[in-house]
Amino acid sequence: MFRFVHAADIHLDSPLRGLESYPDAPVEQIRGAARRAFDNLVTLAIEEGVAFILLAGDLFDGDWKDYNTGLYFTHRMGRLREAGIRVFLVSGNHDAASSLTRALSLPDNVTLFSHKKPETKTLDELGVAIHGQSFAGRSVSEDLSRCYPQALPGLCNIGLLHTSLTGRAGHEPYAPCTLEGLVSKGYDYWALGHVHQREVVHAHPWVVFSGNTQGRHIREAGAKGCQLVTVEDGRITDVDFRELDVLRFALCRVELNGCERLDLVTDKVREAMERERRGTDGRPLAARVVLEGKSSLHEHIHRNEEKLREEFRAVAADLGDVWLEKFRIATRPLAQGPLEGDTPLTGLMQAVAELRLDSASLTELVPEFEALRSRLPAELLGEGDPFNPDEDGLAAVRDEVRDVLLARLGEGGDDH
Amino acid sequence: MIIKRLELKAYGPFSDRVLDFDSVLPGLHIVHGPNEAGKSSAMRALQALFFGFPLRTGDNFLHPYDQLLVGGCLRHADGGELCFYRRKKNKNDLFDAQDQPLPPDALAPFLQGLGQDLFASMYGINHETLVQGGQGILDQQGEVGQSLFAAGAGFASLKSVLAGLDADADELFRPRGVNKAITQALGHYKELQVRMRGVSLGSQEWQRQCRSVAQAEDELRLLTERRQEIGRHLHLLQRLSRSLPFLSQRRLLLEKLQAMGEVVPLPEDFDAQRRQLDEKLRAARAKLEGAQERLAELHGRQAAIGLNRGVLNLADDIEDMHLRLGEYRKGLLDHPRLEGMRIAYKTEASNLLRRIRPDLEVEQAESLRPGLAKRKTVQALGQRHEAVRQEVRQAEDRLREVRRELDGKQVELATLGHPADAASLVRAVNEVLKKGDLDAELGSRQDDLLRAKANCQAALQRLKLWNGTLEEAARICLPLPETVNEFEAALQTADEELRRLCGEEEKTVQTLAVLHRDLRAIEHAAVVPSETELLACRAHREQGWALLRRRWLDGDDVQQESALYAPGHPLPQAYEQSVTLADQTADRMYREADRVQKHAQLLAGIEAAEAALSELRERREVSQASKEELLACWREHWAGAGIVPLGPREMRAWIVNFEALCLQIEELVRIEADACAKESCRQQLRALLMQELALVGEGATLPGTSLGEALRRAQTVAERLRDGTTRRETLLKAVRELEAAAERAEAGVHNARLNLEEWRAAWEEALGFLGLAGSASPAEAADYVETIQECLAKLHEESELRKRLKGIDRDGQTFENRVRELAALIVPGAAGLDAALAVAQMKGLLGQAVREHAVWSRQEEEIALLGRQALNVREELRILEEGMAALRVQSRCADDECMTLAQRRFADYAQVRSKLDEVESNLAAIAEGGTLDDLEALAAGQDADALPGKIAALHTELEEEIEPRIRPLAEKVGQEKNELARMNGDDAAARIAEEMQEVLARISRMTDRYIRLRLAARVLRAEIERFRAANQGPLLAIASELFTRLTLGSFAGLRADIDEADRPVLIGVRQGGLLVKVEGMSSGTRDQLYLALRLASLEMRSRTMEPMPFIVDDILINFDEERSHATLEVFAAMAERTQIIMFTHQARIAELARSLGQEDRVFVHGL
Repeated sequence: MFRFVHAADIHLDSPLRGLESYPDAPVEQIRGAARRAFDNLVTLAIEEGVAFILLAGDLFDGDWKDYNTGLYFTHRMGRLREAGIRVFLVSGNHDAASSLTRALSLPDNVTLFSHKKPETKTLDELGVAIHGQSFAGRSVSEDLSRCYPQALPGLCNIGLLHTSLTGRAGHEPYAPCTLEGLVSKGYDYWALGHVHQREVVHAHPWVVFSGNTQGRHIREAGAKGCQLVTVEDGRITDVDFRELDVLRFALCRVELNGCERLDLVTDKVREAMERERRGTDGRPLAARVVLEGKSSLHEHIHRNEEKLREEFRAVAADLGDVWLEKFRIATRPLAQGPLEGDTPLTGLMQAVAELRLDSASLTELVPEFEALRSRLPAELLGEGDPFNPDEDGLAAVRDEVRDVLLARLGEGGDDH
Repeated sequence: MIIKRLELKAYGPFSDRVLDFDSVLPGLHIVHGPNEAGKSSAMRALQALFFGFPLRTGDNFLHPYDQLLVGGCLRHADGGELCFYRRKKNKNDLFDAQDQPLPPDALAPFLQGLGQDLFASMYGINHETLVQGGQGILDQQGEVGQSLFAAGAGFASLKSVLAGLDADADELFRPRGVNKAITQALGHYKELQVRMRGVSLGSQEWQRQCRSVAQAEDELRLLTERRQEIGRHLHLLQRLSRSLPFLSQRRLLLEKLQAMGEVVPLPEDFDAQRRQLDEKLRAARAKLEGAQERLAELHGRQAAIGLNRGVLNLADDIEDMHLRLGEYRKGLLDHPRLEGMRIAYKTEASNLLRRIRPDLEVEQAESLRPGLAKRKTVQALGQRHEAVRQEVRQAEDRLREVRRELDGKQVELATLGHPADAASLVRAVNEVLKKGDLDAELGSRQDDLLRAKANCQAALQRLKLWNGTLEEAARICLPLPETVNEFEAALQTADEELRRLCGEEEKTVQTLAVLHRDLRAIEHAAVVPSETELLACRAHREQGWALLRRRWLDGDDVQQESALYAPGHPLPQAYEQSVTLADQTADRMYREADRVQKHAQLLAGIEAAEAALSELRERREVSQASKEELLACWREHWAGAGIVPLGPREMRAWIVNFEALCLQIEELVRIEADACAKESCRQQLRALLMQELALVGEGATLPGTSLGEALRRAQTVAERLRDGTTRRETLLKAVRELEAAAERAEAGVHNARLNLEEWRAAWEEALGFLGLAGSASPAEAADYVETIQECLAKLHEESELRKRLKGIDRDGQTFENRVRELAALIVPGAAGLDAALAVAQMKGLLGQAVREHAVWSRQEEEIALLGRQALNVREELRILEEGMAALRVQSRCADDECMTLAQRRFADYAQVRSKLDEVESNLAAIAEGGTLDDLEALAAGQDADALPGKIAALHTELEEEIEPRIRPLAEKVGQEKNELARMNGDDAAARIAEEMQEVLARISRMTDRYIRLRLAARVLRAEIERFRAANQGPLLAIASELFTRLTLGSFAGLRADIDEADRPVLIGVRQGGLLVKVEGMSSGTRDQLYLALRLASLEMRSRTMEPMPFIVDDILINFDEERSHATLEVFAAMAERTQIIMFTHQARIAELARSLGQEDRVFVHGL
């Protein structure tokens, strides 16, 4: 009996995104999260006495150039070497794009599979054959698995592959392949990488995305880690998920139906955060608070957005290890506003509803936006360019503009 | 929407207060109440009714939160009504008149979907808003768009809103602003980028560094090795140079030792030992002599002392006698006093006994003691005596009291007779009460019936196309809605088809006309050559060429044929002409090809169009026929109901109205049935009551049919009967209780008397024991007992004293005997002495003997000590002698002189040996671990004179060549290694990257907010302008007229003008045509301007959509009488379409309103 670890998409030193720092935020607790998660992986492997580790691509982040990251990795590989643990890895699209991958000299316990054709490494003492092929470039559109050899008889066969399989939302369709194609190879376990969401695609034979080891933004919420696989008499007997992450992202939806007091909102937010925190097993939490529901507080919330943000941050700080990632208002008002007639307000609501983009960018509507847009870092102007929203984004902008206007005008008319 | 009624069921100071705003016209309703009357509470109640109670309210001072209740009735323009109530509850606070919950959005259709804030701003105005609105117009400098927009939405001013949006956006970012939040964050981001580049490590940089370190380390290693080699050599030479003088010294010393021969070795402290032993021997001998002299002296002194041992042996007895002597003397003194006391006690006892029993002697007194055993019983009986007598007296009093009360109650019961039973009557009354107020219900039902009937009739008359009665309406059979829809669709399709065909036909006719025109145009332009013409020309040319060829090449005669070919022309010329003609024709055709083609197309087009036209006409006729058929069928569907229908759409509306009427009729029938049922129920109940009344003898007749009067009579009778029965039961119960009490009192008297008898018997028995007569009183008995006790006590004292005297006599005798025996042993001549004197003499002898014995004992101790000391000193002398003998053996000498010589020789030897050791020790240090022989061997081959030269040369190489190079190289290696160590795989860059992400998150959030704020400002500005452009004309026209009326004609009107900054602004026009800007108006006038704009918006809105009630709160506070009057008139005029509810605390406003004299639309309600 022996065990091995399957992990993928480490993205070493890739920073956490979307966390705006503020006083009392648990800044130090989230620093170096990707590294600490990887340290957890190394510690787990040593403590569990695994035979080898499989890394299914995207060890580094594509545009990350600091060689210290590579040195850190070789140091950790050295620890595994002392413990007699071998490491097998294929490079993924990010690794292929990384300058670190090319410059790094790996210790002798680490095996990187060729990118020219599939290779097979046989571990005779364990009765294991590992098949793998690396990405040659950052974009691989052919089905790499097709050229993988058929299973070697009498051995436990493991396939190591960086792939989007038949396509997964939010992931580039690299090295596409089909489940049937993988199963037809006759392997016992397919260790897949690239998709950050953990997924057991198939059992017997096992086809598994281990997911990444550390969530990096709110779209990567939930527990992250690796698969600990047990092999007995050449057959997989257990596939167990182990948490490695040191910080967890969570979406806190706070339902405000029937809530009539602003201070109760804070209480509800605290409850939601506490509820989410209970599931993190002591890890710090990065929580996005979304206020929802139909409430008479809708306008008050919009008027007090900044104050509420500060309050929620205080609640997070009070809980100790919670970071308020973002605070979004998605509540709806009790009354829909004037329904008919040419009153100033119906006209105004109509005008907001008719905000459309004929051209690509909001700068067409408000030319002075260009002054800001031209100064923003490129990172903010790629996907999700605030000046160039898609249809959903524009709908959200419309809703918020409407709410801002109603809140401010209502405030002006509050004296009645 | 109109508020028909506001019910203040339980709110603020109100309980069950109703404000009825129901009137034919919407009306101006003045709600007047003086201060404190609850005007503000009423307005808050209206808000609570529409939008729910606020979480906390001060209006619970009379009714607690859970009792607060407001109600109301609203009417929609389409006739729909909603009567409902609202409680203060978190959920389901809305319910209808039947107490059934209503959905939370039940009011939405009435309130046009407005929330509380918007409703308040659009349809409410108070004095504060008015003043702020006036100020707002000034703030906006009369800008038309903003003024109209603000007044239209009920806002005071938009300036602050727009300014707020701009300011908040500017706070985030301005193109040239330095301290703006986003700009600062961007700066921070750039700074981090620079820092990031500083700490990032390129992979090539790392590899270069590794190589550099390795190279420097190699170089350093070589140099260090060379330095070590030179060092070693240098060290060796220096050692040799130091060792040479020591080697020669060593040789000399060794020779001297050899010359000394054998020497007896002595320990170092030999001399000291010897001297010490001599000294100790002398001291011991002196000590021994001293001890022996002292011993002899002590023995002499002891012989001089003689001890009296006889006295010492009896010392304890003598001391004992001496102690008892005091006691003996006291006994002799006490004896006479005690004897006197004994005689006195006896005399007293004898006196006491004589007082109670003169018949007895004192010695017989003891015979009375047994009687005392009963003294406790006598005491207890004596104490109970009074209690037993008291008990008898009380029991007799109680019995008398109870008997008197019982007699009284029995008399009262006899006077009260047997009243009649009221149970059946009460049951009947309850049954009637259970049915409720039937009289009132019946009245209200009949009112409902009349109203419903009138409504139905009115609706029936409004309904055109059909004449019949209400009863017939219920039975009439109309086409189904599906049929109507079907017909509508079918007719619409048919109409469309027809319209389409007509359109197409018209289009085709037009097309045909156009085609003909074009054809004519082409034909008029020129004749177009046809293909046939071209072929003919070419054939003619070919024919000419054949003839010419035959003549030219074959030499044929073609004269005839050529004449035929071209009469009048020679053949070549004719041929040339034919060639030219063919070419021209071809050229023309080529040139006119377009026209040719067009011509052909036009001809084809005309043919096709004509065919299409005729087909279209046929289809139109068919379509027309089918439509007629459809219409006939439609009319047939209605024939059954006797109705000539309009179009399906109109008839659908008609059916809806008709069905509404049917529902009303159904309601009417239901109400009628209900009223009948109620009436019959009332009659039954009344009969029941009268019957029950007759049964209890109260059956007098009652006028009318109402149930109420009969019920009241029955209730009174039942009440009276119930009271009589209750009183009798109370009396019976009291008599029964008193009889029982009388019995208990008699038993009490009997018991008390028995107790008294028992006591008397016990008393007599106890006294018999004591020897007293039974007739003695308790006090007498007590005195008797006391005297006996006292007498017996005195006798007891006397007997005690007698015993004590006897004891004293016995002790004295014993003591004297003992003293005599002792004195006989010690003082032979004391036999006749008094006991006391003998004891004193013995005590003196004992003292002397004790003192002498103490001196003797001290001397004995000293002798023993001296004996032990002498023994110890002799032992010490022996050990010292042995030590001296050992020293002689060690020095191999027989006497002291020889020993002194041996000591001197050994001292010389030791001195030489010590010097040699010193030299060898130095050499060993130089040899550094090697042997002295190795050193000798090394030194043997060396030239002592050459050594300094060699050493200097090596020093020079080391200092001038090696050392100067090593230090910088080592520093370089250190630096390079430091540099490499810095590249330790740390995460400094990653940390900065994380920080950059944090800044990016902030920038992203602020950018989003900036975009929304700017967009909001832009949309608002655009909308203000659009609203102005769309509404300025009509709004200003209305506002102008209102403004004139509100200012009592002080202004002739309002208009829009362009100011210096090219903005449209509001301008007031004076009667004389003078223009006044808003800045030039008084604040009161500006308030009226704002009011005029507000009212104009309402007025204009009421033309296109349903008007909402306008709630006015005391805005006339600062208006003078005339302007108030004018404002009320304006309100009254508007009240024809819009309901205006005005709350005021000013009585004069109510008066003014009444004085308007418009009873159909102006109403005053008091609070």
